[in-house]
Amino acid sequence: MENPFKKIIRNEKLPSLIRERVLADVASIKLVLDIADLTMIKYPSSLEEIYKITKKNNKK
Amino acid sequence: MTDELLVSKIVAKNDTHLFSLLYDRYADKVYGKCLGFSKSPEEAQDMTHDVFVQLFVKLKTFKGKSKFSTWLYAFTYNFCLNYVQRKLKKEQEKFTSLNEDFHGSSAEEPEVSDAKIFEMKVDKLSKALELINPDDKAILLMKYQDDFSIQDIILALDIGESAVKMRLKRAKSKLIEIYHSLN
Repeated sequence: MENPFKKIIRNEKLPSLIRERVLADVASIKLVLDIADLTMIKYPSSLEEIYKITKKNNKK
Repeated sequence: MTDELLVSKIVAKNDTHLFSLLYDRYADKVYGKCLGFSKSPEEAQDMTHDVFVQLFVKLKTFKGKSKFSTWLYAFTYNFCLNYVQRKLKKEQEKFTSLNEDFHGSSAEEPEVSDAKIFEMKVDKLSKALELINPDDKAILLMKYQDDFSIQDIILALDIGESAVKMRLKRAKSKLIEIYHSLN
C-alpha cells in the first residue's frame, strides 16, 4: 500500500533572491560574532598575557 | 562531503561559504515544509529565510544524535510551529470558546491503524492537513512524510516517549475525523 503522505511533498523552487538575502544576513551575523570574539575573548586574553609578562620582567 | 562533515566544518570556523553549500542542499526541502504551514508562497519564503538565518546561529547545537536531515527537518517544524502559534495566538484569544471545543473533542480516541492512514486519498488528505491544528500536522508529517522514528520525534519535540505516542494517537484520530467530515 502506498503512503499518501509521500505524494503530497511539495517540490517547489525557492527564488534565488532568498539565497542572496540569507547569505548576506549570515555574513552580517558572522561579522558580529567575530567582533564579539575579538573584543570579549581575544583582546582580554592578550592583555592578560602582556600583564603577566610585564609582571615577570619587573620581578627580575 | 557528508552533511555531518560539512556541518562540523561550518561550525569550526563559522564558515559562510560552506554554509552556502548546506543552503543549496536543503533550501527547497525546507521551503516545501514551510509552504505547508503558511498562507502564501511569499510568507513561506520569509519563513525559509528565517529558518536558515537561525540555523547558522544554532548549527553548533547539532550533536549528531540523528541524521542531519532529520535534525534540520525537526528544527524547521519547530520553527514553523512557533511561527504559526504566534500568529494564531491573537485569533485564539478572540475565539477561545471555539478552540476549547476543538481541543475538547480529543478525549478518548480509538487507535487508528497505519493501514487506514495509507488508504487515504491524496486530495482529501491535503485538505484535511490544512484543517488540522499545526501541532498534529507537524507530528504526522514527521512520522509519515519524513519517516522519523519515535526516538527522532522525542528529540525533535523534547518530550517523553509516552507523550509522543499519545500525541501521535490523537493526531491520527483527529486526521481521520476531519478526513471523514470532508465531502
